[in-house]
Amino acid sequence: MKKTHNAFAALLLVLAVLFMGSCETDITVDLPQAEQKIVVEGTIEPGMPPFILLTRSAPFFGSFDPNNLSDFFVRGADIRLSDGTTEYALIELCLSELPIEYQALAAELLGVSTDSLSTFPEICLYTVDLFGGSLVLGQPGKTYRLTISVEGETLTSTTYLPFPVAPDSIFARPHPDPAVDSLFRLSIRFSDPDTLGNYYRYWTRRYNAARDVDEPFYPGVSSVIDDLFFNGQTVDFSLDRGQPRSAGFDQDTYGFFWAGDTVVLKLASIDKPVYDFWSTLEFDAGSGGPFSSSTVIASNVDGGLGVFGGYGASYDTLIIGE
Amino acid sequence: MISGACAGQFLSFMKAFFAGLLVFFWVIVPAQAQSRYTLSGYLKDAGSGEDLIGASVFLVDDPGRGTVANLYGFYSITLPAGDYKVGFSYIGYESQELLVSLQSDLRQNVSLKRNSILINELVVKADRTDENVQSTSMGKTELSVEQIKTMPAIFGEVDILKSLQLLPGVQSAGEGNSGFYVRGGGADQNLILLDEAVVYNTGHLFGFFSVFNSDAIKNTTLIKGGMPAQYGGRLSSVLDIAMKDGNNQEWHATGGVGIISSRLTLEGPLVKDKSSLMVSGRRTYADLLARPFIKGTEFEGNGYFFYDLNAKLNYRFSDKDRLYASGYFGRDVFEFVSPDNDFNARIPWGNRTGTVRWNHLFNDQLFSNLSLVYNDYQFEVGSTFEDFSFTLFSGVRDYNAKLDFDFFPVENHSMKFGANYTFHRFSPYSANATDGTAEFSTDSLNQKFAHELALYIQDEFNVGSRMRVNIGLRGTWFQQVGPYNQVVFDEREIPEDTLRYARGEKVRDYYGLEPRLSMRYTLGAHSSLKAGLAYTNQFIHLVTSSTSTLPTDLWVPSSGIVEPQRGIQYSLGYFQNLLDNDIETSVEIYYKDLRNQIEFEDSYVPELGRDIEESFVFGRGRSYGAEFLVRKNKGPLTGWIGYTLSYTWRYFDELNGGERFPARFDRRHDLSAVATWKVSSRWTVSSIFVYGTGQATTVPLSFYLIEGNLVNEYGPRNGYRLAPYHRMDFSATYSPDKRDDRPRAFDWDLNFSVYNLYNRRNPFFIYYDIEGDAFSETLDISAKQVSLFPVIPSITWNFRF
Repeated sequence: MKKTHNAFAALLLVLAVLFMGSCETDITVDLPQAEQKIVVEGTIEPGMPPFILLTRSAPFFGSFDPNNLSDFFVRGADIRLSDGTTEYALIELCLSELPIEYQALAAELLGVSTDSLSTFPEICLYTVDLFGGSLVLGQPGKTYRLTISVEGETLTSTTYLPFPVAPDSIFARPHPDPAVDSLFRLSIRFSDPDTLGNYYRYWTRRYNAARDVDEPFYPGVSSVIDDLFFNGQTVDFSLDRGQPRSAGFDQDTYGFFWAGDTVVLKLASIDKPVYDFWSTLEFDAGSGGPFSSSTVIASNVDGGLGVFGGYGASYDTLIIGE
Repeated sequence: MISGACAGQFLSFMKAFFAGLLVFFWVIVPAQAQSRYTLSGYLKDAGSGEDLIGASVFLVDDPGRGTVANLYGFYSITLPAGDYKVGFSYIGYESQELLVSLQSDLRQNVSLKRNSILINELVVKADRTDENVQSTSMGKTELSVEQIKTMPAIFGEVDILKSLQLLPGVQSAGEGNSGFYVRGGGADQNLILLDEAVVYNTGHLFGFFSVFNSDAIKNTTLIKGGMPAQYGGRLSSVLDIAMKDGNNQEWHATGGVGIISSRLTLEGPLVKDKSSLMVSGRRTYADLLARPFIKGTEFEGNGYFFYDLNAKLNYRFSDKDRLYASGYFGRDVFEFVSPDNDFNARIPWGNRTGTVRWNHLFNDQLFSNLSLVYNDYQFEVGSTFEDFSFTLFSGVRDYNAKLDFDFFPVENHSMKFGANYTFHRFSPYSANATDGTAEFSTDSLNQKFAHELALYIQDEFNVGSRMRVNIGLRGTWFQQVGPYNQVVFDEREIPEDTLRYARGEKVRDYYGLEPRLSMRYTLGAHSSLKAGLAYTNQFIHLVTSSTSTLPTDLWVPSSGIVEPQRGIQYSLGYFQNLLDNDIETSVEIYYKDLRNQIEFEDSYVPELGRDIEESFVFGRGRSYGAEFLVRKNKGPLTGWIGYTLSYTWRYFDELNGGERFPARFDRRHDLSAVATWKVSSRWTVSSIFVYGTGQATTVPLSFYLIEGNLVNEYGPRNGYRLAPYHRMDFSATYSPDKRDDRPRAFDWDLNFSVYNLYNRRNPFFIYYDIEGDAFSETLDISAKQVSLFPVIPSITWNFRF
């Protein structure tokens, strides 16, 4: 579908060429005061403790200083996590105290590289007691319910942690132009379970010492997949390289990996509300201009914004070009 | 459902309808004591033999008594035996008066001469100029192509739809856009007919140009309120466009060369006085012009053009029988080939219509027309990207048969009745994609099929000396039929089961009864009061998430999920002509209540493989306003000023938190001024000014962070207004001097046009430019407004020989 989008983007360019006189001016928009809302960014994966980030929304143009990070984060919340039988109280833990084995996941939530986590020692997230005797870890097949009480408000969210579905195999496909021998696409062979309603999200991470690259897990630009078209089938398809949203589109290299890259693919089964959250978020982020409309992001959080997701993740590693 | 039950239901519905119809006849046909005779015939252009649609026929000594020619130029009036002075008049033509001694039925064909043979002649109405005051119709406007051609046009492309937007109550869909909204109705609520064929997508290039080539068009009628019963199927308005028949006297060519397109029309007699042919074509060449400029840039490999072809043939077998065949074919084609050839796409889309009509005159009082119409709209994509290939198709196709009668039983009554049947096929996106070995296909997705039938009857008559009434009734039936597979979802929105309907099997049906009423009450010699009431049903819908009409827009039928849109409009108007009908003024107010309005749900994301109707939400619309018009018709200076004050609200439980919100095209103030001044026999200048309240749009008020990315948190739906839109255009037309009125062998004119004279930067859309990211303390957000057209001069050369 991405490609059709590209075709339309090109069509818009034609319009731009036709109407070469079109121009852009800076304007001041006089917006009404928006209600500030609490934003949940939560994750639970098999074998991992839950991590919850609480932030708040900020007016686009207002007295709020978006560059003052500590204003974003909501501290002192009372958060309870229930797995249907037991309820656990989550505790607040700042990044500086986070054990190294959980740093990658925290970096993913924040959208920064693991190395740069140390530059935000003041940022804190909520998790279970990581240092006590019995660690609470995500278990596939369970439904988790989150109850957050903070600043006089109560937010709730429920997510199902599906069982992981690992790809049959992952492999690299050469660039269609044989002259370009340094670029490859990541492909997977995948057997979808034969019930409809399976949804997936993927991330890729790559290292390449020779090229001095060490990226965190980035989700694909279109990171979620619905099995409507291949329910119950075994299919091969390519996945675009994940990249930060701010990276832009390089026509020649978008989606490709380089020879020598070590790629880790994280593929997670998700439930429908989590799928809806990411698909609406990515659709809204990718649209804009005269021919689109505003897409309200489908949150699974009652009383706030954001998402609490159960990710039934599996990990596969491939060295490109070997 | 058993189809027998349905048939029974339908039969009883028909019975009721015809019973009503009989009562109708019984009421209006009084006993005739005095012997009466019928004067009838065709009104034609003396030079070309074109029918004069809507020309007036009236008694000179009593102009309140008269009739108008129908869509085929036929008129009929039944009067007591006697001698009459009968006047024949038509916009832009010299009137004629005939002394008629009516002692038996009389056939009188009348040919009227144009005021002048100048292409860009100004419109000067003839004798019976108070048609606007005398007729029962409200909110009805006819624009002649001649009139439109003297007005300024962007890129010099004369555009009927854009000219209509200058009338009060009609709003432009956006900068440079040919799409329009009428009195707070959606873009899909306009019935647009080209030679009786429905045109589903009226825009080329996202609506920047309309599909109607003005050279091929004879007549344009817009009805925005008090829709007569002969029309239906849409809630808001009717735009009835008639193609030229072609000159049946001699061969002519007309054409024009403009900066982005050229046009050529050939017309002439196949058999003089009996048969004529008209062929017209237009193609843009912006792609050819742009090619050298984009070579070597990232735009290289892009190609875009559109073209239109119109053709019409007619044959007059006798005064009683006439056959017309006409067709339209238009395509937009976009092509893209990336420089390294690994991505290419070809995207053609457009309409096709074909109409065959047979006029038959049963007798001097009963005129009939049978139309067989085919029309479709198709959108296709074919693209390959490396080893990924993708094809997509969507469209609408109709087979339509229509039988219409014009019946003039007695002087005081002019009736129309008829039936209209359409078989629709709706094709949602069907896509095929291959990616390496994986194939994805949505072929299992349903096309939808539906029957639509309407029966109508209307009568126009005088009640006393001051009141004239047009009353009508339209009965409609719509049925979605198989083959159709309806997917049933469980509570997790996962497909659970499929209900299968066989070919022709009923899925769902709907009925509608639509009373229509419009009346005029004469207050004085040149003033009248009018009122209108119209119920309407709309069974097919277009829901768009964008701010303009797109080639990808999908029409969908009413179904088990989507109920028909239903509307009622009340309108009231005061019409006053001044200075011997030189100045027309009017005030009209309207109130509209629209049920089952459709929008996409808040979190709509287009998904192939999902039936689009599952993403709909339903609500109510309300619209009210007042329209003011002052129009000057005579002399060297002509034109009008129109102002509309309007409110358009939508009420949806599932949108905007259940709060009412303005429709995107809610426009509080809308002003248009048009002036044309004939400076000398060579020069005509014309100017337009428009002002409109800024477009309502939804903007994000705040943002939040997810994975470090900024995410929009939107404010109230359509709660923000862009800056007001205003613009002035100017044009000057030069034509060589003519000393006499005789036609020349070769005639031409040159039109200079300036769009957006004072270079106003009107908002097209706004967006937020976000630089840097949240975690590097470099975040910088600014609001930008994109404007489309700066001042644009253009020149067009028109010719005729």
